[in-house]
Amino acid sequence: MTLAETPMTDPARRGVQRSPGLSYDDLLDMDTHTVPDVLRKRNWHFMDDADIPVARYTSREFHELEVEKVWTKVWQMACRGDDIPACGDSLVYDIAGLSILLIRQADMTIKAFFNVCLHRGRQLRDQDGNVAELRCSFHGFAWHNDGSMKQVPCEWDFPHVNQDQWGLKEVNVDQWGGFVFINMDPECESLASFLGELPEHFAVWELENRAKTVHVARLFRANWKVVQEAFMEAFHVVATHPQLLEGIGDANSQYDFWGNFSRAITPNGTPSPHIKYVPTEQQIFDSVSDKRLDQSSFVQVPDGMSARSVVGIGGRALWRNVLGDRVDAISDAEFSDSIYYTLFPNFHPWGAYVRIVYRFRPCGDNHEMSIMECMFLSPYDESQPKPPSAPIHWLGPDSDWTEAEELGFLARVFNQDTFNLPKVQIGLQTLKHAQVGKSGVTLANYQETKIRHFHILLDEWLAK
Amino acid sequence: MQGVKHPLSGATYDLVESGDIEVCKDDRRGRFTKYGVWLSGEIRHADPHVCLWVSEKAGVSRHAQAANSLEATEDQA
Repeated sequence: MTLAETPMTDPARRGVQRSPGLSYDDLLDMDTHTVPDVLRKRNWHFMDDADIPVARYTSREFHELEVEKVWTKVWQMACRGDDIPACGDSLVYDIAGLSILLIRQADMTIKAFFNVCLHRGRQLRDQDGNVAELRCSFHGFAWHNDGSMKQVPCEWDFPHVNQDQWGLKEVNVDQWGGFVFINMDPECESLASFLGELPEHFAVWELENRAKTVHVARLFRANWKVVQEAFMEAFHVVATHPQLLEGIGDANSQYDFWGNFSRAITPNGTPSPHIKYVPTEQQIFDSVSDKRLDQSSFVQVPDGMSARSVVGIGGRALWRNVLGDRVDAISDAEFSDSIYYTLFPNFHPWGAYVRIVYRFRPCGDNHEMSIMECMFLSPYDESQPKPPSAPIHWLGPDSDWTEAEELGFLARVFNQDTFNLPKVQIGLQTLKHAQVGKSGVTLANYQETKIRHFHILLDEWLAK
Repeated sequence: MQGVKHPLSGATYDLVESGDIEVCKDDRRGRFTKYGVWLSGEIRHADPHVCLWVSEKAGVSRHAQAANSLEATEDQA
């Protein structure tokens, strides 16, 4: 019996089914330009189809386990190096009730410390900014920017304090792609080891040579993984973003994973297999460009050309002023497609030219509140000074994403996702008590690969 | 007016002056809030995500931006 003849329920067939429609490889073969090798890298195998326990999203105890086993042990993106460009620039990175202080040193390296005064335990710094010293606002204990003790107020009253041993406790720091990562575990593996092949995947897109031009953070009344997992697959497009379907190959997305990271590629400029007619290339282009019924097409797709190739031509025109003639070597796929990576546990840099980076984390020590951040990393004209790094624009849990005008079109897409997310949290609480014969969240074998991969890594970290 | 046609149902969704969403299909109509809550009319159900989509001022997508750049390039040529 061949694999194709085996029943759908046969374990050998788990995860091997794929949607009708053009595969991502088919689309790459039709590209008008040479596509980078990284887009043809594949690594997928069936992992598991067991339900994900609801307690992972709802339990206080599980959150505390994540703090103990993950957040205090794992490499995590704290900021861009450009967020603290000058000597004395400092930044507070808070994660799950813990606080880390990053500070640019005189030799332009970056140090990070547990952000706490060693006297009575006040958070040492509670805001970003340039500092000449690290002085606690409570009683005035002060440290030099390199973490060594500077001053004990009323020193006569602290003969029991050995100032040589009262340096701030350092946290591991390393950088990749212009991002600064920290790790609180003194015994941790190197960042390079943790990243594995990831830098190789991004070599062609040089994230280190980009400027953070947008940074928006929004609070959610939902566990951080509920929010994160909504941005790790294209399966939800058919129900949550149906207006996109004429121009997005949602169910034809390509999913893969390697070591500590995973990747989805959702092709744009190709129709969804969910729609029951074959749109013209003009309709496809009109869809990706959000043409409304009473508007004319932004561009007429010439006979014999595909919407994807027109997107490619448009992308080259858009970026030529910044990238120069380098645009002529960039494929249609790199201008069209959503290429979204996830580095465990919470860092989501996108490849190519959509420019997005997401980060998701608990809000303080609250397992039912979270923070979603969206940054744009933009190429810039390198003959000009690098644009300053955008500060965070904060939005509350009831805010409309369109308050962040800098997000443009994306804000309305996020509003559609946001319509679901607090209700997922409510639903998960309900599911615990629903007695429906299942104890968790059920994942698709292929389209929810990234979420499965995340939970398998989470299992590994919790077991350490 | 910033209507869209739902690719799955074929209904048109449009923002009307009151801020409500009017849904039309086969000469039948319904009015809904931006979150898809029925207000009036023969059509009693609408897709809340598409109501939300058309309720907000259309921004310029990256592909529309690219199309504008393309036109500018052609004008210069």
